[in-house]
Amino acid sequence: MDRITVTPDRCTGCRACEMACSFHHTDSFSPERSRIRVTKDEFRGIDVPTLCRQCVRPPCVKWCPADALRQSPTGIVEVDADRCYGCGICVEVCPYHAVNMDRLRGLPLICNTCGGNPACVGRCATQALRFEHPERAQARRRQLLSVMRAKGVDDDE
Amino acid sequence: MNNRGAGRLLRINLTLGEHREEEIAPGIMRKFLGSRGLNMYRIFREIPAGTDPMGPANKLVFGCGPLNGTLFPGSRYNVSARSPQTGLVGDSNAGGFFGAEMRFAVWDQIILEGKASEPVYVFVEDDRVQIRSAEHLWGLDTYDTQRRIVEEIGDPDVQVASIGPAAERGVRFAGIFNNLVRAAARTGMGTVMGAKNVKALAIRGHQPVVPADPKRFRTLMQEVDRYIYDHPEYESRRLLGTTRLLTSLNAMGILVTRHHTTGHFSAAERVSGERLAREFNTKNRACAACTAPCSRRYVIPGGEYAGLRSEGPEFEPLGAFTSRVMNDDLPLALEAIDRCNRYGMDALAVGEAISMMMELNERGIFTSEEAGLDLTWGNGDTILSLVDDIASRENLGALLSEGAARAAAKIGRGAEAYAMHIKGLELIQADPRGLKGYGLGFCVASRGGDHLRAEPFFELSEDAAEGKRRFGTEKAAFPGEFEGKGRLVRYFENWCAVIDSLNVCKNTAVCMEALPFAQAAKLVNAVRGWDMTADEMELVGERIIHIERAFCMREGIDRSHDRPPRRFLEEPLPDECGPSAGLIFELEPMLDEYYSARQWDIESGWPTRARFMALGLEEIAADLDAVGLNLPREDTKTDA
Repeated sequence: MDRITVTPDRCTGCRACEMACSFHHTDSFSPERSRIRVTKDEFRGIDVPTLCRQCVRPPCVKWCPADALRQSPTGIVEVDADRCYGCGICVEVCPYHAVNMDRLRGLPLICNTCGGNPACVGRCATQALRFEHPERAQARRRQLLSVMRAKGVDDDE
Repeated sequence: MNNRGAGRLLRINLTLGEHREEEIAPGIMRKFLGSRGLNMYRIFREIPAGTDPMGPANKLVFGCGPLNGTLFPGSRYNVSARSPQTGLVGDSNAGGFFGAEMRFAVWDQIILEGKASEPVYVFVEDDRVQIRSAEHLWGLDTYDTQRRIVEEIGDPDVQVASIGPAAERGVRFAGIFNNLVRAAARTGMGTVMGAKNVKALAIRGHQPVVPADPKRFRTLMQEVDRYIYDHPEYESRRLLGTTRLLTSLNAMGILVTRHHTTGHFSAAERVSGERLAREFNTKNRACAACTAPCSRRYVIPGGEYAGLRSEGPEFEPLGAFTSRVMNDDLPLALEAIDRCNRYGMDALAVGEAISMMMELNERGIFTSEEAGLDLTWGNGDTILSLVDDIASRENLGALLSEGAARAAAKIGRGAEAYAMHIKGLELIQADPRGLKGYGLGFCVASRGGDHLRAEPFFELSEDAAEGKRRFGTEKAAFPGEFEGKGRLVRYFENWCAVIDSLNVCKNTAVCMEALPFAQAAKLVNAVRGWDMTADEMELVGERIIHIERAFCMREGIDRSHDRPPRRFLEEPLPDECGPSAGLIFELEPMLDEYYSARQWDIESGWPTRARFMALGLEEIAADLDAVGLNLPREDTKTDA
């Protein structure tokens, strides 16, 4: 099944994914209402987009006291807005800090890949975000590593 | 509602430690759009002629525009005041994320007034305003200041616009820096902030921006994105950013070399953007939501400056520390630029000061012996020690920290002729003799010798038919020709004023032509729910140019000041300059054409009363009357 994969060294830190995500889901621009967040370190030039990794055994689903989270057969964690009472336990237990709370609606923000056509991927200018089978991303990483080793390049930045 | 109807202004009085919110009337918002436009209106109305730029009466105005905090690529903010360098319009803008965050905090303008009794920084989070002590930050460089404030507030998304030690010490060309090296560097806005004892303005906003017509905005943005991705310059801009210009200007014979004595640098390849990309760049970085990321992270892997890492540089600082000073050591140039960024200074002004001293030494006007250091062209130790001394205002640096114009005047002995500035602002790295539209833009710019008020890139197009159609002569499309440039500059000045007010990036919007007036009007309408046309949008630009001219007129500017250093009028570019060899700058006919295209009085270079009235600037004309300026009455024969 295709997923959104992240290649941080291609990320420019422009945060367009946050804007595209919030615009797609809310018709407004607000990084705080985005299901993808870019963690930036300006001083070291590091930019890391973070979003739901669709864990096989997702802690958010396991620990949700309201039984409001369900994982679909395709791996997407779905929020039942009627059951959710906005306690934020899913925010706390996510080991990747990929779940945030929409303060306006009181519901967790969890990526649903926009139904298979993710807005963030569509707006990423450098293909730091792709929608693909995870094994393809893995193959690419292997290739990159072997090229870097062959060139004797240290992972500097 | 964020970004609709009336605007919101935050006025912070540093002397009293108070702040209040004011409304900006919907009519004013539509007349001036935001950012640069609103700022120009504000400084004209609130900063009287002759106000001491470093005194408490000067006001420092931050502004953002209607496209900030949206998906439009490259969000910017403007910061404006009376300039300590020129005494005229002080105004500079920077990219990064500060402008967008200001929009999320729902402030169109933030004004810093008065002077804090001790060092402070201001933290604005939505409607909450805190003036915090900056005793522990005073003296820190711009990188450390930003880092410390982010840590102190404990929120990685807070955006910090800060000054460095240069501004604290009163260097006249100190800038304001955010997102590491994004710099509002020109015209000394950091100097004004330092004089107010303000180390930084930190901002954080939590409010969404809700476009009036999201569906329409989405469609328009898809058009803009497609256009940018398909642009023929896309790859080169992504790979090299503006540093691509070093090689191309050198090929044209107009790369400022040896302090404007030639336009050809024989070592250009060694300091080129191409070499920088090949050997040092590690990845692209971008301003908010940009589809054409042109900033580059670099690291120097070996040699004397091994381990130096930062972002950039842009072409202008790169040229300032290579061809301009005859330095062919690229890592040394990167070190010098990095120091300028950390100290928080305009690298262009520093490069001009150093190259001017090197020429004065060569001419025997101010020698190495007198300076106590070796002013031979390209001396790396001298370059770095002067950067340090200017920032700390020590030794020769004390003199040069006043800017090239003032330093040359103090030296005397004819040094004035070798200060390469217009109205007190140092010139850039493109020689006006072979790039005449840009040159005219430098001469008439409200902030002095700078290209970003006009950026008439069309003159590089060599599209003769288009030149004839748009600007009345085929020559408008060729950089070495002077005809048609008055009309060209008029058009591009209006355009740049609009883009700076929206407030987005001129690299994509203007130089890649991604945002013509019609498209800008459609986007602003989709955000704000207005019904602006392309013509009304252009009129906004023209209005801004007039209010800036009015600001300058009030400070005593007329036609006689709209001129470059004598060198450009008298000394042709030498033979080695290839296509530009033998060219001089034809000032007077270009000025005639420009004023007449603007329907200004040709004798004085002043707008007529009728122009102010036609643009809905009656109150500006009345203000000029009140200070005793006699506006020309008759419209001159129009040429537009």
